[in-house]
Amino acid sequence: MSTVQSDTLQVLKEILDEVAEVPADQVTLESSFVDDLELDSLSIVSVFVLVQRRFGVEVPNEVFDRLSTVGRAVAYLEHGAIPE
Amino acid sequence: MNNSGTEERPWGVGIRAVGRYLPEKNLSNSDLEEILLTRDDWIRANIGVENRRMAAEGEWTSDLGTAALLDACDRAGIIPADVDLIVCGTYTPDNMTPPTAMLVIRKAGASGATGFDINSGACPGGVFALDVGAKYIATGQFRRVAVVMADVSTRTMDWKDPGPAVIFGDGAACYLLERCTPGRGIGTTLLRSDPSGYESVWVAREKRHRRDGTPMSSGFGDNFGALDGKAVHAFAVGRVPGFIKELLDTAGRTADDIDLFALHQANLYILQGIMRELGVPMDRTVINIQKYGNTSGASVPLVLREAEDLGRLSPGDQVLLTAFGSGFSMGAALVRWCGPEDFAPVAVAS
Repeated sequence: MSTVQSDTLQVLKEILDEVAEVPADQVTLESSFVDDLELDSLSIVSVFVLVQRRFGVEVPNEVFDRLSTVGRAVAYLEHGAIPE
Repeated sequence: MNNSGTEERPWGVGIRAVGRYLPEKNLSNSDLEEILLTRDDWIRANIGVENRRMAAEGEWTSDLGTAALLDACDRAGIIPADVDLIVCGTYTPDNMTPPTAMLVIRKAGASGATGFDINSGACPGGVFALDVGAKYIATGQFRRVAVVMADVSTRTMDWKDPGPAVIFGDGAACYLLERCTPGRGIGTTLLRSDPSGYESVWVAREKRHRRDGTPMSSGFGDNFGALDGKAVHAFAVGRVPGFIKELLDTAGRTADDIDLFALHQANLYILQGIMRELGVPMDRTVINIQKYGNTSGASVPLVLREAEDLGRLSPGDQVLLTAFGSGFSMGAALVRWCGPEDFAPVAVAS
């Protein structure tokens, strides 16, 4: 993992803690927002509102619906494309 | 429970007028984006609300209810003192006691009226409270009953939780009930409750704190509106259509006989789901959730009023009222819509 990726993951962990009080040590790249972190759809939109504010990247509804795991979200924020 | 309505009675129970009041202050989705971690496009795509109204500071349930009652009286060409029973349906009373109906009587000048409140779980009240009021006309105990549905749901929020905030709005409506021509007015009515969903949409009494430990409070202190959207959606789309069909079967009707479905405005996609399950096109209902959000018990009468204003209600129309939500509870009533000629002059008890 590059330093940039680590920073992105770190900020995502902070956002998940702020929105849903998910402890940072429970968050991995493999974590599913719904199945593992137990976020509902309202919390997921809150996460991506904060993502937009922190990263300056707009993530449309139809995109974040497909970013099912933390790793996919990190990859999108890093590369601007939804991972295959 | 089944109230078949008009049997063995020389009069029916008619809705003489529907009054309404919506607070002036508008809160758009964009306004919410400033307060909450949410987005306009997500709310539109998942809830269907674009705007909602919010009571002004110092404006309470009794103020909204009084305005709706005055509007109903105005439309019927009567004065509030001509009303002899006021039933206020609310879960957000001005005070825990006396009933909010007392303040409505005082503020409206409905001198001589008897009054009490009904808390039938917010949203279901649009039919539950109506049924209570209708029974007083049916028994002959009162001659003119105002069923005032009013809530300030936005006062139950902590403004950190986007769940209730994106859905609910404040509003009030008033059914004015009188004796009507037999065979017209409120007919078969069904009410049902299932407490297994008690915590799915409710006002929870609990201590809440900000992340820094500061205590939070709503307009009702340690009481906060909360809901599980998935559970409500599953209940509403899974159970309400069958309940409506049961009512229609009981009344010997089918969905094709219904001119207007006046449904509780819970969520645009719930409404679409219910209509789809019933096999009825959306042009046989009226939707106003995009403008006002979910206005709790006022929602069904607000739909009726909107339908009336749009020219979508005519005397003789078969109208199906359905309210559902917190409890879980659901109520449905079949109404043969009345015209002015269906109401005889009323002499209320002094």
